[in-house]
Amino acid sequence: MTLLLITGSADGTADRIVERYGSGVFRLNYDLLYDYDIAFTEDRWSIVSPSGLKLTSDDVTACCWWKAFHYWNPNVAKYPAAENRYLCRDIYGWCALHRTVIGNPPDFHNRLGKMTILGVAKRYFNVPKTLATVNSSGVETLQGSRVVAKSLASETTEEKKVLHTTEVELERLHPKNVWYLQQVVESRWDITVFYCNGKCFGFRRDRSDLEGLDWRVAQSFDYSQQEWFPIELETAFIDKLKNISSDLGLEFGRYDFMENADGQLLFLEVNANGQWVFLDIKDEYGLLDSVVAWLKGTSSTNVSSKRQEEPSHRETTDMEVLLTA
Amino acid sequence: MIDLLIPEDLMTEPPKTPNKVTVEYSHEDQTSFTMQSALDRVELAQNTMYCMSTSTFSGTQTFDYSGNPTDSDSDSDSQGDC
Repeated sequence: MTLLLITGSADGTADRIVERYGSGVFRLNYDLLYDYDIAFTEDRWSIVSPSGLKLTSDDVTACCWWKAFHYWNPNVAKYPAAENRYLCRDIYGWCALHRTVIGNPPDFHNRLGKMTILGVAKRYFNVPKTLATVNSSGVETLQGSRVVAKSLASETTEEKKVLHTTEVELERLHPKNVWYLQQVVESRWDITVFYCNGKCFGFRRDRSDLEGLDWRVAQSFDYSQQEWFPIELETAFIDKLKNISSDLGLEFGRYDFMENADGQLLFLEVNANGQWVFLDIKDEYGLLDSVVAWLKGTSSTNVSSKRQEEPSHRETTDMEVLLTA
Repeated sequence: MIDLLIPEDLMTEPPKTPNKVTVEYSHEDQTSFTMQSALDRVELAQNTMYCMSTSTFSGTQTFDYSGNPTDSDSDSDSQGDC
């Protein structure tokens, strides 16, 4: 078993995975690409690290992509950087073609967006009334509700500004824009569930100290105090998470909910490549063990690496249908 | 006459984290440590300044080994401008 982990050299999450994984992992850092000897022919590829560790297309049994392009060396110019990224993607694509990829592709949400996911989520969970609109089409569905504007793409402006979740009045929105609008959910708790190959880890964060609607504005960066605390999840809720994960083709991800005044959990979104270390900084709740077991293929519910060779483990998902359509 | 809003009117500065970190990476053990946590490490293969996204807008970040967030959670293929 040799796992190819394509990532960046400054990624602490990858550090933790490598350390816990032990032998049998080859870490390819996009930002240190020139450190490696790489040969990729039309038949095979091989990578040798400066320490002499070698991985070839004949040996790799699993490949995971973890935020490889989050780091860049400012001394590498635009053109070679693009070539570097292309080569990393090509190796990852080879692994995908040979059914060794484990986890979600980095561009998962380019293929499956927030509105479509909300539609799938509605099969299992309550969801806030939500609308993506141009020219104010459909805004009548939100009339009478307090409404927030959110960002679909989470892009920044040229000035590096961002759109946090912001309450708006419908009649004040310029129609010649894309607006992603959602009914306000009054909630004391933000709920997030880390999902890893059938295992669910629930956490909640108290919203009572938030000055606005968006917890990201007030998040702490020093982690001197735990902000998210583990919660028990009911079996029926876990089953729903398993079902939606199956529908979306996800073995891994972070699901976000809010708890309304009636104690109901409302689905907000899922991040298919969501971070999870911040939920378990001190490695107390077993998230790292779960991830490593999943990557190794040793977890009890594992259906991941080379799973396509074992079709009895799962049915074709909605996502796979979408990708092959 | 009401002035209509465009999304940019609602935008604000995001919380900031450092957009440059100095990383020391060991190919021997395949792990990296930021300079602050790597002071006691001896054999280091790299000492390189890297750029990262400054925005924490996507809600969660990539973390260094000590658990300090370093960048955003958006899986972008673009190279920034630090």
